[in-house]
Amino acid sequence: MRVILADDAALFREALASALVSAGIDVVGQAADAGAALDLVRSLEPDVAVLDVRMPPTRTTEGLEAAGEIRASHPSIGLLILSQDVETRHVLRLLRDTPRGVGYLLKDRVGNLAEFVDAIERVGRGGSVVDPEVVSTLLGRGRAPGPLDDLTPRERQVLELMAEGRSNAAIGDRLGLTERTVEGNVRIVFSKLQLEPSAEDHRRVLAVLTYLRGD
Amino acid sequence: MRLASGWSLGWVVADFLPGVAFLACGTLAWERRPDSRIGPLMIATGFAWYFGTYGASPDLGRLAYAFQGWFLVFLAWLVLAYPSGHLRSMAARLAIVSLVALFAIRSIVRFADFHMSTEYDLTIPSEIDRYVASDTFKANADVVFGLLIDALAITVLVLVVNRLRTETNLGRRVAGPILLGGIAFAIANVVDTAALASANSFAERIAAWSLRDSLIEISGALVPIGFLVGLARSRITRGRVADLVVELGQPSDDRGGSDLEVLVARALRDPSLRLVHAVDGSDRFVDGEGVPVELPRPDDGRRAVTRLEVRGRTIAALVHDPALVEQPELIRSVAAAAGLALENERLAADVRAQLEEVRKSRARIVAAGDAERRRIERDIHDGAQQQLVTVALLLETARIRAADGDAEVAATVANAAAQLESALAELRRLARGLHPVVLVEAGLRAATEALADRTPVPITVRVTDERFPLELEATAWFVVAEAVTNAVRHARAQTILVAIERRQAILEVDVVDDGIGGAERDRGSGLSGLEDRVAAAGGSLAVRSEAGAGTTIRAELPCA
Repeated sequence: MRVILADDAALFREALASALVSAGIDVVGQAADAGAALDLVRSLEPDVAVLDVRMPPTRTTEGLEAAGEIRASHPSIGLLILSQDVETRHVLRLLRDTPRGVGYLLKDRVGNLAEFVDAIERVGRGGSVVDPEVVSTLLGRGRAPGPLDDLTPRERQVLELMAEGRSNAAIGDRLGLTERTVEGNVRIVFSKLQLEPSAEDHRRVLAVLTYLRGD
Repeated sequence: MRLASGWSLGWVVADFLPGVAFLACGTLAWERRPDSRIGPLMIATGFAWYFGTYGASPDLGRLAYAFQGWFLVFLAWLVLAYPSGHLRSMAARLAIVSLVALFAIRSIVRFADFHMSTEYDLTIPSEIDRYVASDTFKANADVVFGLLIDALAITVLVLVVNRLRTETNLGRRVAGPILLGGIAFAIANVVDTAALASANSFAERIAAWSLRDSLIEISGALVPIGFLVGLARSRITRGRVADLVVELGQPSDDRGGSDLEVLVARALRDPSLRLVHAVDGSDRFVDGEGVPVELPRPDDGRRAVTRLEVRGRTIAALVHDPALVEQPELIRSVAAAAGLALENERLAADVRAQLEEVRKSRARIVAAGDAERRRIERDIHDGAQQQLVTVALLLETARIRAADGDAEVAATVANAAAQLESALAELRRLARGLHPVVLVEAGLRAATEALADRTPVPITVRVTDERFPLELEATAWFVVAEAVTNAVRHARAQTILVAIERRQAILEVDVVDDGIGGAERDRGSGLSGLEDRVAAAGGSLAVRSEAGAGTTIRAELPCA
């Protein structure tokens, strides 16, 4: 898996690069800002671009803008956005604009390298990754009593993992269930929430998150 | 009733009254303005009226004869000097000096040459003249003096007519009556001399004397009457001070926009009046437009100055018709009222300026606080958070390396990583509380939606997408965040509505919950802080929170 890293904090970037390399990820390039990242994408055509949201010059949403541009020019490149805080609207915007091969994680997640590498690989394969914090925030959102209250604890777990962008197989692994059982749970969840069942993992992520946000 | 030699009581009274009138008016004038010459001049005129008229003994008769006619001198002086008491023109001064000199010589001559016959009837004033007339030389000398006096009387007449012609309306109002009296008197004297000169027989002389006496008595009474009329007029004017004070007490909008100068000019009936303002701490003055104004000098006969003083400091000056000097109480009262009004205006303007300054400084403090929070948030984000994330990464690397070795080391590292994770979460929460990035980035609606994401109570968001200046958004956000926190923490609300809408130049921020209500401003509920914050933005905060009926918080913030 060929990866480029874009983050203006040089120390963090270097440390992440060396950790990823030791975990078997091929870090082919590093950039300190969005412009340099776009140059690297054009010249190296990596499998995944890991982008910090806040980068020079304005330190607001440069990483998100760069993600949009990369998706427009190189649709097959996976995009993993790192942020120091969860901004729900950023996640939803990302998933709406670039439904495939996109991820949004808190920067803190580098503290679990195996999970982090897994996220890069999922994104690289066209999957979706949504930080658990995003999901738990949205689940904790105040709402009037409704279908969510009707879910069993198991179904709720399935919902959460689904929202994080995990496949049925991965959910099964997590919960010690067969993929078929997971499929059944997913169907029930969708029917209880009155959502259109969706075959594709990345589509159901957006559907679930949108539902949770109450939009 | 008839007295000796057939003079009627009526004649005596007519002869007696003008003198008394002069004395009375003189006393009145002196009392009103002890520093003016008008009072003493009138009293002198009154006394002189009787000289030469009554002499009870040969000695007194000599004196009376010598000083007969001085009445004219004082009267001319009085009329020319009225109302200020000063002889303004060189011509007037010359005329009076000449009159005094002429009468002085005449008195000396008369004093020296007085001879009184024993059979002289002292009760009849005109006998003095009769006696003199019997001596050809003395009669001729008296005619010469009489002609000179008439020449001067005509000069005085011309001067008085000229003054009456050139006087301002106001001056004419005050001095007019007395000037007219003066004119009448001068004419009477000239007629008298003319009649005497043309008289061929003694009988004709007696007739001329009679005519002279009647004319002089009538016109002599005119001057004090004129003085009283002028006085009465000025007293009527004084009622306007009360009106002025009432008018000044009203807000300037209710005065039809008339400024102080117009009001004062109206009160003093002097359309030429100008109000000039003292430049702080100096003797320079400027008009309403700030153009420097030169005050007329004290000896300027056409304009007079009254200074408006507050606590011994000249704050302004009235440049007005000198005739107003004749009404010292009036101008003093008006000046005092105008001075107070000016001082009030200045104090009010000071207070307004200070309030505005306080408002601005409060807004600056709030803006500085906001900027400081943004800066700290950024520092946390780019500094501590970034470094701690790096540490988390390094700990993870260490954990992986240690996994195959010492289990205790691996456990310690894992423990450190867990601690770090919660520290990072805490730091995130802190940074978010300091300053919501989303607000600056995406505005009130996005920020409210993000707040709804993190709030365990359902929030209905009805917020405009419009963007506003940074400070305004920050204030509106402060209201929303604080009110929502209160609703969740204290009010046990089930639902919350956040509505932000712009109506013309007002941004309305409403936070409504269905909680227990009873929120009070002074119970540390954060409401007083909210009020301060809204006030700093020039807005107003309304809280309705009856027990059991939920809480409605509405902030109205001015927006351009």
